[in-house]
Amino acid sequence: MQGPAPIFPNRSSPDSSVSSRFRGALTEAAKAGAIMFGLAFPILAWRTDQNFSNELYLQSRWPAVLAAALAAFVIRFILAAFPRRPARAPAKAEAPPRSHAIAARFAGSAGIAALIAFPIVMLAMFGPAGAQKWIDNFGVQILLYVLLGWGLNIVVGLAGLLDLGYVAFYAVGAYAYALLSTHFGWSFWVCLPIAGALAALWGVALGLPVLRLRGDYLAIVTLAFGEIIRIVLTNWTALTNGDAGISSIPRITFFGWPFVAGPHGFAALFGLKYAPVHRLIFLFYLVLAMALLVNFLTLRLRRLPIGRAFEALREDEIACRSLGIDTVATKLTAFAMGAAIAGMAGALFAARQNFVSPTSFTFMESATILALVVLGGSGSQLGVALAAIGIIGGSELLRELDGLKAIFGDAFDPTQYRMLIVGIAMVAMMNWKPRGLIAIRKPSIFLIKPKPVVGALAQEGHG
Amino acid sequence: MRWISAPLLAIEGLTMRFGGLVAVNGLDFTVGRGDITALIGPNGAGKTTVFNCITGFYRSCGGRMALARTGCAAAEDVRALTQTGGRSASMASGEIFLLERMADFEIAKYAGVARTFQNIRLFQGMTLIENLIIAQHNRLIGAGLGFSGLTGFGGYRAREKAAVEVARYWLDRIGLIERADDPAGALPYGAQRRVEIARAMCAAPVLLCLDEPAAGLNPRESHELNALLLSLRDEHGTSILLIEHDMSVVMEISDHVVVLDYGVKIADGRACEIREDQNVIKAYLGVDDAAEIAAAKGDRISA
Repeated sequence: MQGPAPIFPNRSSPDSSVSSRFRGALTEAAKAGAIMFGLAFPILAWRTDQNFSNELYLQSRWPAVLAAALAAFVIRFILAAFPRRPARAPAKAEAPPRSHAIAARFAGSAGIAALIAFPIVMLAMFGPAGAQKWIDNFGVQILLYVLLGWGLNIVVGLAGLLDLGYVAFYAVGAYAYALLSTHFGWSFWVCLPIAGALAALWGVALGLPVLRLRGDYLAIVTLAFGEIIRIVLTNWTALTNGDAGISSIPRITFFGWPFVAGPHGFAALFGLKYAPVHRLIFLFYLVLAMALLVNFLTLRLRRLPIGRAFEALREDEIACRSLGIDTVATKLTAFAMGAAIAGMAGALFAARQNFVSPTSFTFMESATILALVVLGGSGSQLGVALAAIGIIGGSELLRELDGLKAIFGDAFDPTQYRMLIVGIAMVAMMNWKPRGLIAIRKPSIFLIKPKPVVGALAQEGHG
Repeated sequence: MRWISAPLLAIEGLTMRFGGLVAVNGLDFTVGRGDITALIGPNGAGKTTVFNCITGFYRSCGGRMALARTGCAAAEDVRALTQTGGRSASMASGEIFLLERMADFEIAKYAGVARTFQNIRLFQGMTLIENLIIAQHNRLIGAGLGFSGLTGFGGYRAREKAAVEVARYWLDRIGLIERADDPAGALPYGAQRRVEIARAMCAAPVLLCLDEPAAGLNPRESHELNALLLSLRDEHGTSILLIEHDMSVVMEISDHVVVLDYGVKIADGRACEIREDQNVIKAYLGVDDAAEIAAAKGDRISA
């Protein structure tokens, strides 16, 4: 648009340096605008639509193209004209302030209290019927992802083994409960440990062939493993009923008392008026209890030799072997532990949905769970939980944003932009905090006084 | 001459090939119990390859490596064990392990061989105390499983306490007790070298293999290293096998020097003998003709 940025800014008088900066910014902005115009033209300018006689016609949308180009121009201009202060040098050896650790600790207890209060608050705010959506879609679903995130955190965050097929174990657990309960009528409480054990078995089965693989190669094989499980579930119709899935899985009971109206139901047992929300509240607390148990065990695990060996494996596998640590057994244990947690989460999932089908266990699920671990900060329990609330809760919350219609017109459907917004948020987040939300490692033992370790020093693991 | 009278590690005919390249060819030498043995040679002589074979990181193509955890590796007992096809046995002369039949972590765990690396391999994101506790993994793991480990009471707690005391002792020895709770990656280079040696010592090895421990150290640090290595030998009875280019370290502390060139042993003996050995001088300087050395020097200056 304007002439090129001055090549010799020193020649101009001092007060013109600002104007030269603006001229340079204008050039940059013009370039960005032109690129955006070039991109928007083929994508936005014309849209095919059908008229009432089902004929295709082209609809021009030039204002949208211009708006996109203008937006790019303005944003680039602002970024170029008002540069941020130079980035601070990364404080490598500098330990983070101790207040972080205290804040993290406080956030943990406050979070648990908030979670325990959540169904009661929802019930008070929306009534028994209105609270169902909030407890189920937000409460139970987020907690299931927290559980999955914590399970994967053992494999990826602690042991540093990149697993892209984690959803396979979730599927194994869900189908284990679905099949055992529909075929043999086994109760949920019997099936829960079986689902965990079966998934752990499959974890070892996956672990054995990939022991010698590292990094990218490990990721690819685990990805393939996840797909194999899904495809077997789809095609083994005799056992799994294929794509149609398994329906009428028994719903969860209150230790044998079903959540039904009538004299033998949970409501009658406690003299309450029957409401479907009781089952969801029980499910919520059940998943919460499971999650807290997993959290306790993981935190304890980090202080045990096997947990320390996991972290050492992430840091340097060769050094582990030189110290006599059996890396094969260590890796298999990590895989089995992570898988067992996913298996139990799967059983809870099947009990919640009372229907399972292979479409629930696509690669997208694995990617989402991995995103929770990475965004949260590998190895950080609190970070993973926060990421689950942000990503899963946020993307559910975006369904509710009907208010945006007032701004963008009635044709605007916020649910269509849901994943776009989640994606942009993830990119922005990783730019802001490249090592995840909580990039501080708490040492498992201390001699004089505990000092948190900055995440930049910890290795990411190479498989 | 302990490497003859009381061999801890006896290596016979060790051969390692990478495709067509013969890195180590029929190497024989012994490491004496209680000795500091230096393995020296020009770059590319195969020293690190020998280390990797001894510690199991490479599977050797041929040869025998017998280590006596207790007693000594007497030739007839080693031969008898080889014929049984086993990996280890308690023989009349001592508890003998055939390293070429064992995996890397088994050599560290059962035979008691610990090592350090040419490029330091600490657990960088973990604190010094954690690094030193992990080295005692096998002493803790048995107690770490089960109820005791899960709750942190009972036998596990006592063992962990003992492990912390061992770590404290070694941190004190290398003068880094103040930094026990700092991440290993935040330490200066020389300190990281010391931590790696301390970590290896936490595994309570009978043979400590050090791959260029003095590389990158300044003269004062390498002098301190000498004192540390001598005390490991004299106070802890640990036998040391080290690769080193720094001749001030090698000549000052070694009881026994083995010189390699192109994968074969060219000299073997006391430090003072090696210094005078014509083969060694030839290997290091390339030629023994003074005129040619002078010519080479002239070339270097003009280049």
